Amino acid sequence: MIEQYIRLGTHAEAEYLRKLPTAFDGLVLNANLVFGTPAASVSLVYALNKPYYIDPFTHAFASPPRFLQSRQKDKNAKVAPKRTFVGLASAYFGNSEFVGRDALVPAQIDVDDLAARVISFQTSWYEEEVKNDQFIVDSGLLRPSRILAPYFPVRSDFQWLDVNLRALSAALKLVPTAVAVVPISMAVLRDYREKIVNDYAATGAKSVVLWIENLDEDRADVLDLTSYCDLLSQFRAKAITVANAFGGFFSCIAQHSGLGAFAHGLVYGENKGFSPIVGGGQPPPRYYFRPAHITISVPEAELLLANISAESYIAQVCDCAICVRLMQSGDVASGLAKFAEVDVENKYTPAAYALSRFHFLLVRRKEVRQFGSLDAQAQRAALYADRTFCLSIGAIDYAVHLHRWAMLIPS
Amino acid sequence: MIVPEAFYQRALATHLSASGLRVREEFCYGRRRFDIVAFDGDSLYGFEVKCINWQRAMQQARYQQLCCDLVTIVVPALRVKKSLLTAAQEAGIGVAAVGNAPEWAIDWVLEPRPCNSVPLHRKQILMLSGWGS
Repeated sequence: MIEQYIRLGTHAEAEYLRKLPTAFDGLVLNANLVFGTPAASVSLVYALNKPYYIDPFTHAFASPPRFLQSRQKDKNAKVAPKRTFVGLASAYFGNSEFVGRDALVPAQIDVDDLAARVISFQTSWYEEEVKNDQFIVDSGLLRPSRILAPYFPVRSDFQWLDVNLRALSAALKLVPTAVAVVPISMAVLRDYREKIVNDYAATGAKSVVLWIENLDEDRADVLDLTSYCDLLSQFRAKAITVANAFGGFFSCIAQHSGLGAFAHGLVYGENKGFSPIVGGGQPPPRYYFRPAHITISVPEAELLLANISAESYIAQVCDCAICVRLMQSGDVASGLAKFAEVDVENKYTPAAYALSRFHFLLVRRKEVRQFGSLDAQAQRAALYADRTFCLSIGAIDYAVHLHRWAMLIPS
Repeated sequence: MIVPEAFYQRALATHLSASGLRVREEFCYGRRRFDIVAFDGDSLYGFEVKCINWQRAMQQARYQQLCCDLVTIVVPALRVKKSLLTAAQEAGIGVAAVGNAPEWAIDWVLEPRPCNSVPLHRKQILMLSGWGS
């Protein structure tokens, strides 16, 4: 069965994971989050008692410098490098003066030094926090289940590929089980799969975390999804295990091609670009629409589902504990409206976010388990049944990808 | 000459206010924005103003039907087409036509049917507008 990891966005999301630890297999923490919040991160990892790993987030230092800047909230509104990235740069590169000023270029990287420092960070980030709590160290729970090598974005100019491969080789010398991160653009996915697989296999890596930039599973066409599955198959042929850094329900289908694990955020974060996300505030609660296996806005959900009966909703859309309780009134529209509850300042309420996130966690876990246990024929039938339901309620635009996905389930 | 949408919106808002309704323009509810909401102490009205794309107005009005008691699409008088009236009639959405400056006469072309609005949405809109809890 495919492993499902949750990538924590902020510690505000941690309470949902603490309350529903049965809804996922492991945790991914970004290095900048861990660096900025070591105490909260230790507390969460220890409480969850699940495998976890740190995404070293080294790629951020090759991004345009503005992504590592923050505007201070004082009268002068000065722009300054983000504190967590300054600290992380010191840990990784021994200096931080370039952060927010210049993007790193390959010639600046000492791969042996970087690999050693990045590994050291992943294996020791918590030591200062638990120096008085030896029992936590002794539990072994803070030891990451995967140690990731440094990585930078690989686009079709292959500017960073050589650095990635050399840093990976250096990491493998230090930790023979070190995992390669393979961050590739869509252009590389389309045209250079064999080269990527051969190059990474030549390092001796036995495990990779794959990150295909902005691969939106439900919008991607058949050719891109086929390329993705082909890449997985090629890694499998080299006996290399693959986890997807950002994935959604399609991961259950990609499992046929060799995908062993996938990660996503809480409701958001099933695909991502190479540049770090800047600002924007807290996004609104979204509704996970189980029949299409995608998230949609709450108003969209209300318009689609307002006219079906509560019985149909429970039978054909979702029977998670959250929805069963919301639909007890017998009015689907009233139940769904609670996903979009606002306070007197027109801000979404914590209750609305909680409904959205618990619903997502419960449904995603159940569908991954149930769908993953079906044989190929039954998986295709399940997708077509979902598609038929979507068409029956007029959700035509939300069901197009189900046919594409079904076509990619091998016979 | 193309008349901006905001002019029609302002004309309708003025007309509604003059008729004794409490009116909010550019009303934000969650991430949605209603061109006009109005309240007469009993019924909550939603208005979607569109100069060109009435199909888009229909989509937005359909969401307003989950929130308000009566929903109307507002278009320039010259834009009232049979296809719009047919679609609006079927959806229970009203159609109002706004004439040209300087009179900006309002013609209530099609009466809206009362919506089966969601109590939570209605309550929250009244709360946010300051018209009740």
